[in-house]
Amino acid sequence: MNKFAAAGNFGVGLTNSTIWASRSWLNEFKVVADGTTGVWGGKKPIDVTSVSMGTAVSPRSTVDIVVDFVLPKSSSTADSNYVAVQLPFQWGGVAKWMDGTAAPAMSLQLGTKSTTTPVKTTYKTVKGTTGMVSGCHAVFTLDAAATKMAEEGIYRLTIGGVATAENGASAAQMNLGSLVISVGKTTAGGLGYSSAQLFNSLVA
Amino acid sequence: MCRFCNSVFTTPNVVNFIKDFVPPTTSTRTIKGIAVWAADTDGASRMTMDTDSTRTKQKAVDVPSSGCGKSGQTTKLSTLGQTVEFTIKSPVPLAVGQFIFWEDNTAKNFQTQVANAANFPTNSVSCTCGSYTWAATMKKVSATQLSVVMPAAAVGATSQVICAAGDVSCKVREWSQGSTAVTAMTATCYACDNGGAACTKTKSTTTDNTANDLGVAKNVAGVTFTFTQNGAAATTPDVLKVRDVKYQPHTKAAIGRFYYKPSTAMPLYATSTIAYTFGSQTFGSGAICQVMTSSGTAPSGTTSDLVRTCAISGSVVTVTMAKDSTANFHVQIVGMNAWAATAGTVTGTVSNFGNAVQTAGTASATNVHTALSVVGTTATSCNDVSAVTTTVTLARSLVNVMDVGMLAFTITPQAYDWGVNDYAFISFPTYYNPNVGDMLRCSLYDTKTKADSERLYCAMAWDYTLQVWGPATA
Repeated sequence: MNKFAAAGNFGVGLTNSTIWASRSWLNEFKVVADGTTGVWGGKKPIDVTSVSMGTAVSPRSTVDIVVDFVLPKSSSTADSNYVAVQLPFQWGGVAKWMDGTAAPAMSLQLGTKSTTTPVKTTYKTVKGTTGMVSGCHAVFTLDAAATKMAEEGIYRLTIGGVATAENGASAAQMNLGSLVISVGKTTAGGLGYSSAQLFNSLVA
Repeated sequence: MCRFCNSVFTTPNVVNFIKDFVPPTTSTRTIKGIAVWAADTDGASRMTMDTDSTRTKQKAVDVPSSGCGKSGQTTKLSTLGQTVEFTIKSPVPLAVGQFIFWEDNTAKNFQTQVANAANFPTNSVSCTCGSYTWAATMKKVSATQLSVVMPAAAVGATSQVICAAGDVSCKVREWSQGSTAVTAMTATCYACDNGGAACTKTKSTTTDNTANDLGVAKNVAGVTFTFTQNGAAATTPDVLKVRDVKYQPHTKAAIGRFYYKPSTAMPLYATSTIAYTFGSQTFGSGAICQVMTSSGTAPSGTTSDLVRTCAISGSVVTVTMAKDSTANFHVQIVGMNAWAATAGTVTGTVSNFGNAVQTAGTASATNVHTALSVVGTTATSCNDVSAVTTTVTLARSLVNVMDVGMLAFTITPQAYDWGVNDYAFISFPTYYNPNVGDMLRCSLYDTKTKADSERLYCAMAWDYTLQVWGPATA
């Protein structure tokens, strides 16, 4: 969705294949108004510190993607309760998410840095579930009882079982892709976005 | 004495020749850049600076046999936007600012509607010599005389030559003619230097180095061509038509797309416009005009490169061509006002080089004057389902720009059950992306079990409109 000033209308029509093929008629039609928001909710880009997959990836297989990121200070991302990811189009295998033959397994961890040298980051699981999934998108939603995300928090998002490219042409470009992660509140929309490049992380 | 040629200046005018010197072609037919210094035997010196022009002009050369044309063309009476061609075979190179003339010898007059002393429409005349083509300025000097001026040289050019000796062809792409019938004319041609805007056949042959000496390519009385301007206009005039006019869904008040394909035999050029008025159907300020390649009788999903702009104003859609081509494309309008199903017809105009050259004909059996569809029961009419009390509610998790989310439509059909042979068409506001989203997923949600019951096949029917196939289990 793009930014808009005035909400528009959806048009919903029902028909059958016979009348559509012969006359393009609808049997019934109704207009329904869209919501009235549509603003840019981001204040600062999310700081993605790394994207990793750990190994070479073959076409028609799966891979786990690990994204480390930090929510910047003064980014209005505090109390976010979801993390969404958008995969690049070359990863055509994720169409399996669309038809239900595959689904990602998502998890989120909160990192804590040690106060001793050398500094180590230890991670603790944040409870939540994989929510909405389409062909290119997946959303991890925090449990209602879980501590919401916080600014300056260190997070690790793992997207397991990501289907890779379906053909050689796309496979050759898999390492050129970028993914987009976003955080926000399910009631208020996206609050922070960032594009993270894959090509440093993947041996295609 | 001349230091190089050993001549003695015993008379005021001495002709000295420089062997093997090929003078450059210049617009004026004179040359500069040669300094001559001489001294008498008694010591008096004389000098001509290199900024001075030669006192004599380069001699004009006869236009060769069959050098004027082109013969055999016939224009139609009462017909706009015709194309005619004039040619000259120049025996010498033509330079910047020089003029080519075609002149009627028989007082038949050039029957173009361009006024005497006026230029043909800007960019409407295209001239070519060799591999060089330029948009020429052609003037109707008088009723019997046309001229073309040679263009400026390219930036950085080291010569004033525009065309090497040989054929020059000028196509007049908007020759609009009235109803005055004349018999065939016999015309001729010639070229004059850059001072020859008012050149004549006689002046092109004058060789006295006076102001009347203007010829570059001399007119030859017997070198002529014929030009006929009394062709009958077609009994069924070619008019602007329109094909494939369609609104989908073809239902009154439904939100959808409108498309059509222009149909004209008029040549179209890079700046030509085709404007159609679709009765009183308005498209709205938010309408988006798309020009797509054709896929049979409908637009494909591929954008065409034949059109530069498409503008919508009220009921008028105007496309401007991006290149010389036939109108082999469909115009599609999305995000428009709903179909009004108001009686009306399609009218329109083709304009070439700023002038209307073709309009839609009046309604008749031979002129396609497409009527817009109204509510009815025939295959070409639209239907009206406004009496059906369908209810639709919308819930969405999409809130802000760039959000990933879901749209949930709760639809309560009233006319029929929605089943395996059915479709749903959902049109989106145009602030969504044209394809709504990459690899989106459609599901049927069971309100009783509060869970997805079936994955539905869905795809974009056209931009901003999603087609959802009915459930297999309904």
